[in-house]
Amino acid sequence: MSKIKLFSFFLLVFCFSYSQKLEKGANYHLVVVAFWNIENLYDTIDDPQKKDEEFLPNGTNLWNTSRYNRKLDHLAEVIKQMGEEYTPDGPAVIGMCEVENINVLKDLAKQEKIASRNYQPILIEGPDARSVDPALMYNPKYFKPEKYLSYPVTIVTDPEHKTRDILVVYGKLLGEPFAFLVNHWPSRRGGEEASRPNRISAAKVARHIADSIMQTNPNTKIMIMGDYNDDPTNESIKKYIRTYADLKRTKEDEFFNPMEELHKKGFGTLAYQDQWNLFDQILMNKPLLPTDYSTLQYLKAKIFNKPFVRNDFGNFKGYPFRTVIGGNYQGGYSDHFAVYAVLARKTN
Amino acid sequence: MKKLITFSCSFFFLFSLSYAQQDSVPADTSKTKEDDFQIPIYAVTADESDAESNSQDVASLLQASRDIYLSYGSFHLASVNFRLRGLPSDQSIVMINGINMANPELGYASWSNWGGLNDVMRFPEIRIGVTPSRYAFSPSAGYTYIDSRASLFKKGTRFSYANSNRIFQHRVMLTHSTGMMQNGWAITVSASARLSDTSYYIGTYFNSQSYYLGIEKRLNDQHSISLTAFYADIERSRKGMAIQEAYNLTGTNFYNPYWGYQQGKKRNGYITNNAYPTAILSHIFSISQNTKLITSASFSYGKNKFTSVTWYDAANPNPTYYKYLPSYYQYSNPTYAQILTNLWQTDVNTQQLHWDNFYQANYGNLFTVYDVDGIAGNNYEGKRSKYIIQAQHSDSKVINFSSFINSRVDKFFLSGGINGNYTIIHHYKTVEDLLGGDFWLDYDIFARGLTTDELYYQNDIEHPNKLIRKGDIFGYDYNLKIQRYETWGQAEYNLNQFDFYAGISLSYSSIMREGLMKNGKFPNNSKGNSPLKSFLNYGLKTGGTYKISGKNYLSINAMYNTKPTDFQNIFISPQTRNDYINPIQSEEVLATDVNYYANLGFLKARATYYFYQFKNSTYLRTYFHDEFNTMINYIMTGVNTQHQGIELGLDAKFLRGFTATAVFGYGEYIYTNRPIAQAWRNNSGEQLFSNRTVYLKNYRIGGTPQTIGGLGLRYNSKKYWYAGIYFNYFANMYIEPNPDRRTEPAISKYIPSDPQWQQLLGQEKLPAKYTIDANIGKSFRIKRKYMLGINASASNLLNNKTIISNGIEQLRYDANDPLKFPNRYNYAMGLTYMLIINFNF
Repeated sequence: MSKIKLFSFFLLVFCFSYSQKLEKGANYHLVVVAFWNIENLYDTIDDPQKKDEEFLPNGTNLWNTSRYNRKLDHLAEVIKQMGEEYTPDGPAVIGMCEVENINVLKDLAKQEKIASRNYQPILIEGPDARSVDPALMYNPKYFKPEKYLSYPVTIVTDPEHKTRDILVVYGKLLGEPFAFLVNHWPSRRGGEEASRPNRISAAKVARHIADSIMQTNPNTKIMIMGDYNDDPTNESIKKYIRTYADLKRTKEDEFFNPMEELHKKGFGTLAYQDQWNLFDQILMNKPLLPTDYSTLQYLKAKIFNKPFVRNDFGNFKGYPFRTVIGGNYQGGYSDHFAVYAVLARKTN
Repeated sequence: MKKLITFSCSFFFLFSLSYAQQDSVPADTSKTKEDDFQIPIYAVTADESDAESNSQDVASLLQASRDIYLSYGSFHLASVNFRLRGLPSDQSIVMINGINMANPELGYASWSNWGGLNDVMRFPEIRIGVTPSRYAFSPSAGYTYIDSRASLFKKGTRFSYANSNRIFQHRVMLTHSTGMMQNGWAITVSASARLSDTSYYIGTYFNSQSYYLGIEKRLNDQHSISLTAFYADIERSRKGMAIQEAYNLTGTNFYNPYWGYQQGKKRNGYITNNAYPTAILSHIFSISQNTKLITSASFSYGKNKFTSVTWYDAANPNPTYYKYLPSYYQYSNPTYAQILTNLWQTDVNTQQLHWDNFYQANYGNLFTVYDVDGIAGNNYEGKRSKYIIQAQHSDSKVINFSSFINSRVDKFFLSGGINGNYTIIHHYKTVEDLLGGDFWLDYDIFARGLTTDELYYQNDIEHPNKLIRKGDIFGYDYNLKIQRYETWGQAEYNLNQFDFYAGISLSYSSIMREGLMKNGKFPNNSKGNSPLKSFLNYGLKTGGTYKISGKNYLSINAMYNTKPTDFQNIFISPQTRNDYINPIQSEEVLATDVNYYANLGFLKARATYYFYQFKNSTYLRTYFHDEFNTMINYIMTGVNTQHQGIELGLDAKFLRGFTATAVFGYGEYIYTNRPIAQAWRNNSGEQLFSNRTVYLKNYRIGGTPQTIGGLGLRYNSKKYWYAGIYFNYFANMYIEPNPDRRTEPAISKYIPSDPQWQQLLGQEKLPAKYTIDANIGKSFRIKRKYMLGINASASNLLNNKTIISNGIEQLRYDANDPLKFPNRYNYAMGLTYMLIINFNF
């Protein structure tokens, strides 16, 4: 029986909560903001301007209509379920990366599982070598975009090699001024250390954008989201964006990173050699940090890692259930888990 | 059983606890008018104002890389027969594309059946200990699942050459795969050859070719059909064990009594040939997004041949026969002992098989056989072989069928299936070489003179006095027909912080012997079918993992199952008759383990405590017994054993590119009771004794080190090269006890203070030793298209030639002189190397 006691003890002491408290008896509006690297959402049509050869019906991935449709259905399933425990409307804003063009997002928004939410896509075609771009979808019931633009990022170690821009979308979320930065920073190809300057360079661009927003309108709520190809504790994020895991220590011109705590506890959005990485993060500036929930403020951050988005078989059991591995169709979701943050505001 | 109940109780308790801490956030979807946006309202009504929720799933433990402890042990301690937890081989299962590859008679799979096909049997999924399995009800040591479908291999060609001084000198492997092609087909072929004229041990060679063909057709995203066929044809000559005296006399611990010179050329008389061509046809059916059905059928037609030198009415051909060694004469005839010592030190024909002598003996043995084939007056005169090479065959036909389904239903993952096996194993003996003689007569030397019946000593009374020529069957000839059908199911339940599973298996197995030769000693029950012996067995397992965080995991597992009596031990003397041992009862296995896993990024570790109990095992050996002065069948039933211990394996990364590996295993593998022995005269069926208590309790199980340790340091450069050095330690390796020496009759003449008391009862513990291994390698990418890899490894760098890899107590013993038949040993190889070059294009 002592084993049971030991287990119960663990259960009791192990109540990790990095969420904020809501008032008993009060009513709130909850808004979910998500980010997801959706692993190569290409259509099946050959665009001569783009490097989409691998994702064509006769390409190495045999990317045909049925696979494309299945992929859309899978993405819709996750988008439908994300944050459902907080609001039936699911994510109000979803940042995404690895999107070929705006049409695939239109197809995604039409998927039966999420069509009722009437998602609207935003995408700016950039120079990336693989012709994928960051994008954003929003539920017009929640978000009214005002303007959007993109900023280039350079691969400093190989300036000829073009990478993804940073997409910036300004607008009103439940009437409050917001800016969303959608990132997909340079990969770790060649090794984490060797490629580090590229991500630092991207971090500087993102920080610069955030700085100028904060300067012109300090009340704008800024959410920097993306696949950074770096963990919350890496230099690019910590030092160049200037992030903190601790809400209270996050100062005026700094960012709160709810993912850092998750990362330290061993959570991740992708895995490599049996180790979890948490490359997908949502960062928030001071105006989003919780005080009294009179405006939209941070409540909670999560990773969408339900069993169905994980591999069920083989040596890679537990890893994200991918769509394609090296030309081999898997029929899964993505090589990354999605992440989302929940914002709350008291009604009336 | 009591333990089991406690375990299940605790799991049930945990289930309810974790239900209680489930997320219960209410989502009020009522809309208020004043809300322009028609945004759902979230009302905080729950007691906990913490908007809570642990509803975040903690990541599961990732195990794509191999278990540190197991891979270290199986790589660096293979030379001393490292066996995980000291468990019997039949406690793990090896599956290829869903088919259990075990030989049903032996109960385990032989990896040599696909030896050399490394390229297509790579990266199996290995789980150790009591573990959930989605492919079959895995036994207590775990499972290995090899997915060898053609589509899983990358498009391209791989060539590899290896050079070594261990088993083979040269190995060539060539593999080509088309990958999944646009038309839905994938084809992979692989071939390999391994050869050596002289392997590490003197007088041994190795010769093998292997082939693989994989074809897969993807019919659509739901259906896929795969055919996998492979074949490894292996011929190798063996090394015999010897007593230390022979090693000392010849001056080398690698002395091998199994070869000798024949007209100046080395010849080994003990050769093994195996080939188990196997074809597996599989259908992979993705019924829905969450449900998969995999159905496979396989057929294999295997041949296994095992040769040895045998003799009739002549001197024992084995150079290490006890009467050929100086020690036998050291008191009775010291002068002769000295002559023998000199001969042993200088004369190769004394040390080794004396082929020329065998031939001379056969040439000179002109013999008249009367009534050949039992036909009166049919007489024949010719050279009757006194020495021959005989070949013992076990050829098998195996049909397997397996179908299993996997389905994710919300938080449950359900698996279940059925599988069946039908096997016929044909055991028989043939003459491989008459060594210059004209024929062999199939007489049982031990049965001769027991009666006046002329047929009694004939092994085949339907063909008495048959002239056995090369290739003819003689001695024994029978089939074993084995069937096994199983149905199993498993449910896994995943919560945010807990994973649970429970599994069940029900199986039916049966065995029957079909005698094909009427033996003179047992004319009534040697030919024809034995009664069918069947078993109904079941297994239960359960376990849970507490996911403390994505970095720390705690798991506990337990299983209980019954299994049929070992089919190798179920007939008293399968070579001669249909009699079963008595009593026959199913064996029981109870296994538990508790594990802690750490995955901290810079540190990866597993610590385990395990406890296994085996009950009602049987033991059967046929050997020459001095007390009865004849061949006997020695049987122990109700043997209980226990394996418990701890395992620790960790990898730590430090500085840049360094990885330190440490493993430690401390086990206690022992006999836990006093089994009852019985013995039968092999050549009459007379029971010599029964109810003889064997005082085995607390003796150690032999054959594997019970304590191991290892420390490795490896450097991985960013420039694609690595180098590593490994220090390996092993201790507490025992020699398996001969049961009959631990009985009252064996020690009846002695009192505890007599030296013979300890000589008979003591168990030899082999000395603790250490070895050092090293490896180095580099890979090159050429023109961004080709990959060239060069790897070199060296084992036993200090060239220690005094490591006993295994030893046995001779079953024959003389209670009057316990030292007369000392233990026999094999020594592990000294410094060896392997160089491998891979080229991928």
